[in-house]
Amino acid sequence: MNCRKAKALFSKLYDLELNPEIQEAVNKHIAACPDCRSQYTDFKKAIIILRLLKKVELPPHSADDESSSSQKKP
Amino acid sequence: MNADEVSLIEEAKKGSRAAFNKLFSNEQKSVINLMLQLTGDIASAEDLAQEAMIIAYKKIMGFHLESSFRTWLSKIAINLFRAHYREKRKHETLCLERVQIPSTEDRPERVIIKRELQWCILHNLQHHLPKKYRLALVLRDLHNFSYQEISQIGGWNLAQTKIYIHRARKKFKERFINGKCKAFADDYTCVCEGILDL
Repeated sequence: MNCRKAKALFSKLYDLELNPEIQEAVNKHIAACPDCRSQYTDFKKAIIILRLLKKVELPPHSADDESSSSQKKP
Repeated sequence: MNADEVSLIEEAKKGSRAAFNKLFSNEQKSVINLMLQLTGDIASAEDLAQEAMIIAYKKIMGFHLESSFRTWLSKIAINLFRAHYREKRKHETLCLERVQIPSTEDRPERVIIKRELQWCILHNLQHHLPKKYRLALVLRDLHNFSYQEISQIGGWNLAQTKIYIHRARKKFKERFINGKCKAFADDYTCVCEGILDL
């Protein structure tokens, strides 16, 4: 495993989409390589921060308010 | 797909509006959120969700349970988004250069920083990711669709889907690390309860 291969597998590693052997190889590489470790940490941080958007509050009339003019039934 | 959902779909296909409304209301918030995350605009998001509902109602007879109702409805909404939304919006209306990060001395409440951070992320999705990457990222990381479901919704094969998700995350990470999102995030994490604890 080298840096280029490890970085290409970050996404699958994060989603647990790798087979166990490759997952172990990537994890070993990340543990031994400061640059990849730092980049994988940033990669995970970015996804966690992105997930803040899950918590964006919709305006009060959205979705819940049956009387809203924009929420007509078919 | 659970038995209740299958039952509601079968009733809706027989013409029950109540069954369809129940099906839609279960997913309505999720669809509006999805459209908001893709368009960045609540009015457009509500309009697209409304339009998706109408199309779904008309096409429910052609839905043969190949996927969950949520996946099927999301695909309809995504197709509307693709058809109606202009790729090249005027950038200046949301341009980050006009945003001032609050100074340390005059830092507003944490909630304000969080909202600015959310806005910053939304901006990056809107203006700094190609549409297919934005779509892949939102479906995977904000709506937890599986790779297989994203393939169905996006109309891509599985290999393309995996590539788009990886590239979208990589590009978003680069924007995040090099852009103002990181500054907002650092500001936010100073006072949060450990959002970045990994």
